[in-house]
Amino acid sequence: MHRNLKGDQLVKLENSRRIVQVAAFAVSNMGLIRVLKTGFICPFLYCHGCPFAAFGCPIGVLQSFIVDGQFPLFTIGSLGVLGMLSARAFCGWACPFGTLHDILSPTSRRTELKTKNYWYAKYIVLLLTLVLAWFALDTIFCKFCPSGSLFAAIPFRLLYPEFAEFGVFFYIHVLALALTIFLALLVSRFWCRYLCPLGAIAGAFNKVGIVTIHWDKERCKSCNSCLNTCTMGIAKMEEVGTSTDCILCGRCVEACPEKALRFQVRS
Amino acid sequence: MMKGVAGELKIGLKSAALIAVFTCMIVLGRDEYLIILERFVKLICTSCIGI
Repeated sequence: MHRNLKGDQLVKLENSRRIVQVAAFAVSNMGLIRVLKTGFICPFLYCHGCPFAAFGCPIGVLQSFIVDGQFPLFTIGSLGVLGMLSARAFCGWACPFGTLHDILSPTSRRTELKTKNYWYAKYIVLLLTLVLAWFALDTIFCKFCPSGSLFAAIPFRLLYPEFAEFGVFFYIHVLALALTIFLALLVSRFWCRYLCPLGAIAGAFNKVGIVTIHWDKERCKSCNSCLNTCTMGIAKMEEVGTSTDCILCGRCVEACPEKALRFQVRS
Repeated sequence: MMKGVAGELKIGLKSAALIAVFTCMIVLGRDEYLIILERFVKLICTSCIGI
């Protein structure tokens, strides 16, 4: 037996997601109160360079441990448990940078930049991130991360304008953010689709995580309402809930007039 | 196949085993918690802010 979301619950799904996204942003910044800074990692891309950050960024922490020549057992274990419990739902429901993408491009756009052709790009970014940390002995990805720009570099600059040591990487940060915003205006969830290294890790859990989206073939009338509303550009029904790109946001579940899609616990 | 049952939710043995493995990793690497807290979260990361 499965626990499904049906009927009136679905109507409120999108509103619920907005509330969760706002709450996740608030929780991520509870480090404003210093005693609420924690040593846990967040399962989304939120920079621990943010003056108010309450959690460590998993990508930043992974790189730092590689630089130190240590195996990040706690971080990998945390990502594993969170990935198993939620698959990539944190991208769709909690990630502040993903929320920014939702604001910038709230509707799905069919562009010539097809998702399927470039889904592996984020795995290349992940590989490069880890390999460069190993060889350069520095957190190279963090120097270019647009999320770090938005949530750490710019707020820090605004809070401490007297700080005179901002170098070229501050401007590279801002440039990376501007470029990401521009591309996100053209392609919905651009960063999440193609470049997010954490999305690459979380996406792998869509194959084994306990939460998924179930497609009822018998109910489906192939109207494609679900695929047309997908901001991640998923092109095949078989990939809903299982593709490494699916962020389990539930837009497809809500869009389906036949209720052929539903959240489900994978058994 | 054995199944762990929690209310109406049934979680497969494979999923339960993976969760157990990752939980063990958290427990074994628990010392990292303080490193993350003291070195990454409480201190300002210079790479992140562009110094």
